[in-house]
Amino acid sequence: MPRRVRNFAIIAHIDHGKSTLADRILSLTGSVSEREERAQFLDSMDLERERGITIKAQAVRLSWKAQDGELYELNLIDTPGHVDFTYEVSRSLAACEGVLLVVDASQGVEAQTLANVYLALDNDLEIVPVLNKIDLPAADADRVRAEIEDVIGLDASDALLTSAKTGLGVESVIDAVIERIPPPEDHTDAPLRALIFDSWYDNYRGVIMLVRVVDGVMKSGSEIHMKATAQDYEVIEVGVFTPQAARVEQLQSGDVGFVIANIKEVRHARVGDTIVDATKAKQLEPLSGFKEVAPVVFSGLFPVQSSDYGDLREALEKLKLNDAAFNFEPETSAALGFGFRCGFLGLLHLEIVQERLEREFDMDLITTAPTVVYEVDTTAGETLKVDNPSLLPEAPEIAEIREPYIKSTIHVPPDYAGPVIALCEERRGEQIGLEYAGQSRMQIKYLLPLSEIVFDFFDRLKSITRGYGSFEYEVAGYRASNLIKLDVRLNGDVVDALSIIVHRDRAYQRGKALCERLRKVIERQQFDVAIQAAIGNKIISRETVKALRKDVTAKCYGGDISRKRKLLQKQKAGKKRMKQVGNVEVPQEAFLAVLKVD
Amino acid sequence: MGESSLGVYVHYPYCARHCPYCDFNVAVARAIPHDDYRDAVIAELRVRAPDFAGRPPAVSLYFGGGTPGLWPAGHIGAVIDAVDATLGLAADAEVTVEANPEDVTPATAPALRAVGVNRISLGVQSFDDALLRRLGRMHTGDGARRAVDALRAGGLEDVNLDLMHGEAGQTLAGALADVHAAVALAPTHVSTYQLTIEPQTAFGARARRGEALLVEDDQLSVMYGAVRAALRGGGLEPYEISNAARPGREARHNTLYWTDGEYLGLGAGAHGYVHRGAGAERWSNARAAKRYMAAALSGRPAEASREAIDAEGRLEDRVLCGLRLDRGLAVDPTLDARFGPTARRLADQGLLAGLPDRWRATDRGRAILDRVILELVTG
Repeated sequence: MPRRVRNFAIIAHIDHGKSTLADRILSLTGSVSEREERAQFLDSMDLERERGITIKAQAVRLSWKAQDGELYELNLIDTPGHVDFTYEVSRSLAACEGVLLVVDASQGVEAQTLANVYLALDNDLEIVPVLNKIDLPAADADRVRAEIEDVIGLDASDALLTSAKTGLGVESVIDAVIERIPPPEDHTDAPLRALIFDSWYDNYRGVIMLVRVVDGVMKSGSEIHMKATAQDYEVIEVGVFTPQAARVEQLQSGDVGFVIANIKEVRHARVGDTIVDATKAKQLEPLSGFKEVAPVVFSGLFPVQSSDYGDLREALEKLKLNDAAFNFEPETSAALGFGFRCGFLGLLHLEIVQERLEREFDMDLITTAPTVVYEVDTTAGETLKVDNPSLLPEAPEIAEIREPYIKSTIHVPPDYAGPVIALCEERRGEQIGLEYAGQSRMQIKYLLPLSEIVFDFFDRLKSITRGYGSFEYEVAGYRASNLIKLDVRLNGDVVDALSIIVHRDRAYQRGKALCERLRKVIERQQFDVAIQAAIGNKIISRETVKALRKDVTAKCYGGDISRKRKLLQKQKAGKKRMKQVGNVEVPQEAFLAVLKVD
Repeated sequence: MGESSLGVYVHYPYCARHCPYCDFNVAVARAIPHDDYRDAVIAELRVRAPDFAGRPPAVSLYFGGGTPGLWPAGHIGAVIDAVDATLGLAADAEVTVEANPEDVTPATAPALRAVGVNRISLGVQSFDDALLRRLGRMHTGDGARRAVDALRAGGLEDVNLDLMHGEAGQTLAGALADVHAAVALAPTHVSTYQLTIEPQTAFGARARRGEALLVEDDQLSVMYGAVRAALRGGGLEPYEISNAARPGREARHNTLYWTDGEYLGLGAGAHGYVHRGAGAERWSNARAAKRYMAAALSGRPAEASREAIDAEGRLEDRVLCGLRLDRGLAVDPTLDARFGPTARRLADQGLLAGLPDRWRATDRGRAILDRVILELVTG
């Protein structure tokens, strides 16, 4: 007798209606009352709601009385939707037996959707196509159905038609989950093995893990062992989200739920790791698919006020409790003083960390331009990994520099193929594939230096394709490149935190643009500020911020004093966000100016 | 002129018309309620006077506006008498009334003198008729000269002339010509304000539309230095950012603002300041004249704001105001503990001088005093 349990996720391109559909399902199954139904319930952090993306996966247990009259337990697992988080998505999918593939009936299949579909296929999941936004005038179900068959190779003849916005067809989606997605296999009698597919740190309960129990049973008091980190713990509580957290007696083979086991840091509860019965830890093999996630983008984070260094360290440690992919180590910059070199999965991840530090921890930060990790062979025969431009050896000591490449796949309507190819060429790309994927879509494949996409590639792509271009990538090893270090000097002194590594052919253009940009963001000071871009000792560009000659309030009588005082408070706050570099006051945004030159 | 001195400011909000650069609290009324306004100010005075109990008599009484020159002398006299009767007015108190040149007649000075006014501040702005028109002023250069002559003829010898510089159409020569024209009238005091574009004014709106209303920054600084030098050459010694005077004729009232003196503000939108232990308190009255009058006449003055200033804030204010004076401020151990290290750095940069006994801005420091002050208070 198979269990009346279904574990499923929703795969969709950003804006194709995943969160709206999830909300509809939650409210239909009575999990969220109308009043509680804030828009997009599953995205719990404010930050997520604001950016419209889901960062943490969550799992909600729903009850549904199916057409056969039986009560089913449905576990809806939410997944992140950004290229920076592919691994997390793959682990969430590994907890499911099937997925709903939601495609905007007016837009069709996007590259990111495809990437996740492949992940689902890799995990042998049942895929139920859902054509959403069917109420839009531009909806074209036949075309999109054909596209799903053509591009993905799925039978879309029984694709469901819905409008998550109006609620149309949502019940039939839930019925399809029960009818078409298989129940989990039941290995309740086997020794415990469970997959961690998400974990986060809670201030009151410590680390909370979302797990899929594959074999056996887990309950409060279970002695557990983590395969990857080789740590033992005792389970304190098991439960499910309904979406409120609710304690349950046990989680058994096939169940999805949360586990609390007095774990202090998320890096001890890694996504993808296997929890096993501690008493049989040696004999039990880990579930497949675990990967050590490695940051690919590095950036320096410095407190504007040096005295905030301790607070920043504390904040970073707290963030790390909750983010196994994030790492940091102390860094010292001649210009910015003491800070931390931090590693991220991508630029989005960096921005999220930066915003959380500013918003939740009230830190005033300077973030230096993100960089990838270069491999440098020195003339002395050593090979170095360089994740900080200021640590690049002097030119004569370098035998070869290699930079990381990615293999990117871009999908666009054919009209936009030209501009996309031009963009990839401009970013030093090498074309490796160009073909039609379906009738109205081209698939463009390029090998690109990772450093070229770290910056604004995705934004540029979106703008030149009016949002129709989609992009996914995988790492593709290192290649030798003609790279050099470009320094910026303020009043003659090299500001190490502004150094960047660039391709020699683009150094002059980058240097000039960088100087111009800095001239605009550095305010006039009590003296002239010379901004120079240099390669070694050779100055390739120069701009000057002229000294401020006049800045004084003309009238300061009775009422003016309060006004002046208020202004002064505002200026004080603004000045706190400036960094004194030598004798020059440099605003925070200057250090990211390099991102904005093109 | 000690730090415990008290002054009284009376705001008269009415004007014949609204100047396009002015964001002061002014009202343009068809019929000015002179009597009610006088009664309201006196009523407010009676309510507020106890706050200043125990102080020596006021050393100054200043009628600002608005255009208090429009108020009949008898009304001004009634307020002067009321101040004398409540707080007391020192025998040598400075009693100033602001006036516009077009409102001055041969009768003005005798009438004001008769009620106790001994100083007039005249809103001349410029002697260049084209510039005056651009500034929306109703008088001419010659009109200003006639007004000064009339005041002198009427026995008012202590006259301040307000000048303005920096308007985009003004040349350096034009600004200096204004100073020379002013000096030629032998005033005891000249205030030379750089035109400030206030957001809530007609000029503010024009600036937002992209119009350049001010001389370019670098030229402004040259103009400012030249204006000060020309005043000094004419026997009017600059003693504050925008003020110059014949020796001994520095404005006593305004100096209170820059030296942490207490002042009682009366009238619509007026500001007051009273010490409270090591800190202080500031307040301002409701700005709308009608509302102010109704509240004051009912014995409960309507306030728009009231803020407590702690010891640290008062210290900052002492610096931000005191550095405006050419003589700067005397350093005491409290000031030195709070601002000393930064002051020494600013001295090294050539922005402050007079250390260790005083802190005063150098010429370069004065031109960018707002920055210097920001440096000091942020360390």
